[in-house]
Amino acid sequence: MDLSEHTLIELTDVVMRFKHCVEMGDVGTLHSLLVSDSQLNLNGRFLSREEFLERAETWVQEYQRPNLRFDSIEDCEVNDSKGFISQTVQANWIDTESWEENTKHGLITFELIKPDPMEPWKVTGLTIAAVPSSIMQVLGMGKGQNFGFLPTQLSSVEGEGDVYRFKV
Amino acid sequence: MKHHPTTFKTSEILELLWAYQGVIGIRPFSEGNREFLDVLFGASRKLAVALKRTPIPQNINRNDIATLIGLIDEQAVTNHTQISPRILDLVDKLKERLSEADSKPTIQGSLSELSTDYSRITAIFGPASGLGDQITFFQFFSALKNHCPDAEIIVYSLYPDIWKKLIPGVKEIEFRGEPMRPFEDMAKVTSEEEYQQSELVFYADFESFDLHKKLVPPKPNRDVLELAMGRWKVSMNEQNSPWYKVKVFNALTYRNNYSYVDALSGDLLGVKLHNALWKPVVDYQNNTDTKSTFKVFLNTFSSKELPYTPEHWAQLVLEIKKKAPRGVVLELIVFPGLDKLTQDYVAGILKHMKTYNPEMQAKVLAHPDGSEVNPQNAIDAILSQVADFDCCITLDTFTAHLLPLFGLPTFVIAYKENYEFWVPSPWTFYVTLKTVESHLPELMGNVIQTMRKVQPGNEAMQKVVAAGEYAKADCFDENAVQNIVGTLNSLLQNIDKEFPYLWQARQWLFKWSQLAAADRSDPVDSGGLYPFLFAWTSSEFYKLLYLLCSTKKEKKKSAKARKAPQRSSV
Repeated sequence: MDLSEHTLIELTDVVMRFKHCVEMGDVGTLHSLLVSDSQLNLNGRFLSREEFLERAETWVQEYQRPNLRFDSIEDCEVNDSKGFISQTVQANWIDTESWEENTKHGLITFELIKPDPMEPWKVTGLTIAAVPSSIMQVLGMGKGQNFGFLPTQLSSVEGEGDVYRFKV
Repeated sequence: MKHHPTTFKTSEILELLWAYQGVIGIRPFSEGNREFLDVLFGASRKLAVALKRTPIPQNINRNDIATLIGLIDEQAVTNHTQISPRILDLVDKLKERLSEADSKPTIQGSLSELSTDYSRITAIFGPASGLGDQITFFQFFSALKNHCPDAEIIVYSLYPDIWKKLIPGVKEIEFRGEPMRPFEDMAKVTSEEEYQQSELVFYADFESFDLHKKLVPPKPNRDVLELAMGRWKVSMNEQNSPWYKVKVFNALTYRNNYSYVDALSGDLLGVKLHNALWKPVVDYQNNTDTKSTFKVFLNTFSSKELPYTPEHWAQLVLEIKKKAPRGVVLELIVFPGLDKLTQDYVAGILKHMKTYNPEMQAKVLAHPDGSEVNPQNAIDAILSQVADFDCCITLDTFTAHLLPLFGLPTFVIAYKENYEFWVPSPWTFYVTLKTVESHLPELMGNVIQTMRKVQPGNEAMQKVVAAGEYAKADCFDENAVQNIVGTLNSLLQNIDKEFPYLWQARQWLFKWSQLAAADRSDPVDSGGLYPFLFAWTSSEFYKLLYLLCSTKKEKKKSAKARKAPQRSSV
């Protein structure tokens, strides 16, 4: 197996651990994933590890049922000791104050190092960037659009498809 | 030597009538297959005549038989959905009175591999299988022919001239209007040698009718199979064994009819068609060049209610034309169907085409000998010209199953996401009624663009396709998964950012690396990952890569290669 795909699979594993920490509200494990001087950027703001984890503690209190759905790898660059992986994500959570379920789309980018082959990967850089809602509206407009000149379903056929079976 | 009597009993005729009337009553019939509905009416009337002539059992009321015959005579296009349930109820009632305990017990269990030494194979395709369903059995039938290379093969089909085209050398008998013909022929035994002949009979249909028990006469060396695609079921009796064996394939790798056929080949022939599931008669090879017109074969019919008016089709073609690459001249060849109604419908499409696309060339498909398309020459008319077509758009499932077998990129408009019927071909693309407008023109634009590329896919693209095809055809293990991750990752590093459906590739890179990571921490049987492989290789991105990596041949050579096999003499 080529080194790069081996590393990519390991990076994906780190991403899945990050997802697990967020969804379980496990700030302690999240702390262990980040190196002490990691560069953390939240929607353009640079935060120290402590500031980031402090915010994470607050999110855990205020938001219920957080869920991160990673959809695709937008970019990645890997070698045996360094990794960069950028993924599209859909985040969902329930706001405990407004009691509404929220959804945001964004990009989460990890920079990672593996100082020693026997050690696990560590996050040296993390960028979380939500797609502004105004841009989401623009993106949504041109995608999968029906102009309405064709009927899209038939009442007599819907539900039947090709499957017909006899009483036996 | 024993002769099976050729006079059919009332109970046997009723079994056949039940099958034909079940199809009439339950299967949808629109203008698209009105002609086949007439075939079913004709068969029912023949069975009514047989009922009149056959001795009536003592426990049957003659008035019931007379009522039944009257209902069959009365049945027509205008009332068949009302009359058919009445016929079925009466047939049920009569069958109950005639019911005999099965002479042999039926057991569920594993099936034996078929012999390789049959002197004769008789295949019967029943009335509940549409032409598309029949063609789905091709993969099994073709493997069976290889399994028994010396057997004489006789096929009974209600659709003329299909099997001779797909499996050269078979003797094909059309039994339209003669519903008892296959069973009559099997009952005729003229010599001791013929009586002892080793033979396989398989009755293939969509529904399970148990005709293998009720109508196929037993012989010492006759193995009988009944295949029911709609139930993913196979029933078997070997060499007049005291058992009927039955197996239902509930846990298929992919919930798809081709997967059922693959499982049949594994159990009965000892050969898997592999996870490719589907093999063409002729591979796709690009045959367009930048100057030629792009010929689109269009089949707008279906057995179900037709969703579009002729004007809708003209509008849709206009949208497709807008998305086609600049300089491409689309030429439309429209299948006229087999009925006056369908011919009028197609005339309407051509009329509206002149309004929406005055400069577009469009014509009705005719047989190369100049005659109009009819039930007898339709398959020949299509397959003798398939090499000239560049793609097909179809609502009808028969062309959806048939034309990809001859290497033709095919766009299928499915009524819904009934994936079990979808053809797992690398050059068949699906949209549904809900997504036709938003997806089909763009998809076709992308495919046409890809097909017209002179340069084949680069090395990184070819590696991605090779990794997918290797996993499908040979071995799908941990290394295959990692190979997919690695090749896809390398491709995405340098691919043109405007490559169509790139977002699918990015999603799949994540999915495959997630699967590989998960499998590493908690290994699973690789069989569990097959559905992901199926979905990946069914994505538009993968299929475009596949087409691109097949763009190697010169036009003349490939057009010849795609030509359908010639009519075989039998």
